[in-house]
Amino acid sequence: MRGFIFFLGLAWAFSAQGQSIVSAGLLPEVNVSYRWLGKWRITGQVESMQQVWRKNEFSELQGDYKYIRTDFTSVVSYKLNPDLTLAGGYLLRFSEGETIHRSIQQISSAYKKIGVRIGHRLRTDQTFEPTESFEFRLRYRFSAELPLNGLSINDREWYLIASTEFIGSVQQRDWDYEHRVLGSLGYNFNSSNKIETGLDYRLNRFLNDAPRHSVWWTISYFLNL
Amino acid sequence: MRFTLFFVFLILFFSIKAQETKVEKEFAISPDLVPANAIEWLAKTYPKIEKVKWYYEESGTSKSYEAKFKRNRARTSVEFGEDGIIEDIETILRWKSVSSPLKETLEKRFNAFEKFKLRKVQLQWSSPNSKVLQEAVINNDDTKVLVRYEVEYRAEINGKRGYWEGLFDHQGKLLENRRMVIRATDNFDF
Repeated sequence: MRGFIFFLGLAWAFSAQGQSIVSAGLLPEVNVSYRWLGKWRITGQVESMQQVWRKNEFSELQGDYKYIRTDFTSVVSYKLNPDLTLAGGYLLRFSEGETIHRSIQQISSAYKKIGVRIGHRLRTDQTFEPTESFEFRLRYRFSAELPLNGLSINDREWYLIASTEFIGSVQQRDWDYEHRVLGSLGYNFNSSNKIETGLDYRLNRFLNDAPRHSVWWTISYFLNL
Repeated sequence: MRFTLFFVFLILFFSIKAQETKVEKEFAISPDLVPANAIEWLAKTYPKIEKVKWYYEESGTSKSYEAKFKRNRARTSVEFGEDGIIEDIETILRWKSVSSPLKETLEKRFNAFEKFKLRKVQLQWSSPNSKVLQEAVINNDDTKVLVRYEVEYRAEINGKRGYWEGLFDHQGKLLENRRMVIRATDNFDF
């Protein structure tokens, strides 16, 4: 309940900023991975974005439910070493009657320091939409995962995970920048199952337009087969 | 609503499944829960240490208490059995502080592994006699204790890439080598 109140408070705080646009809602996600030969992994991901509140440039934040999109992503990864993973994939987005295609390439690393696990991800993606021109993005994400009990995350233990991501994009010579900050509480059922819930704050379009803030309540489930 | 029900179902299903799994756990505990003889041994052996964190470890049927602290800037962990009797002392070492003949022997062994990268070296002191171990720490004299080195490293061994934990004696002979379990990185990758 306290998390929900904080979520509404955060959405309201951004809505109080004059000409900005604010969206807030839900972002549930399911990830299923299957590993073979030790080094290869295929991952399927389903993510659905649903807006629950919205504030336009000159209005107040108000309830405005709207289904925004569902993404289906499949990614094939190859472990270069235990810390470094190379991956490529494809995303299919269904949004407002349109089908959007996106190809993804990334290199990511995750390694353990004493009491904390650190992750870096460098990703590029190319988006193809029927009604808009091609968009290219370059993204970098830094993540840190902290056990809430002891120095490592064991079975049936809680943990915190936070990340920040910098996203630069170009579409028909228009450059833009998006920043994301995510904070989540996770629960590790066992080595195959974990769930995370938290807030995903995004700020974009502030280079060329009225800034757009969005806050999403995320629930992510990860299954390793 | 359908999503909420779906996630509640997932949580219930995997909570039940997790209870059937054999687990290894290590968690922080209050000093009040540590056997008094372990607290007493630590206070006598390291009288100047003020900030100690205590952990309880369960690994299969083995249970132990572990005190972690910094001594002369080196991270040290002291492990006690369930009865509070000292088991061993481990201190993280810098690779350059490992003595020359041992370092050369270990380097030769490491060179035989493919894609080797050193992660951590710990000096391990143990003795069946807790008094002997205590005096060794107080006098900084390892002549009467069993000296071993626990080395964590990344390598490919028999086609298996991963992190390994090797236990070496003071002459660099490999006594034990086990592959470390690494948690999935899916929440970092996606």
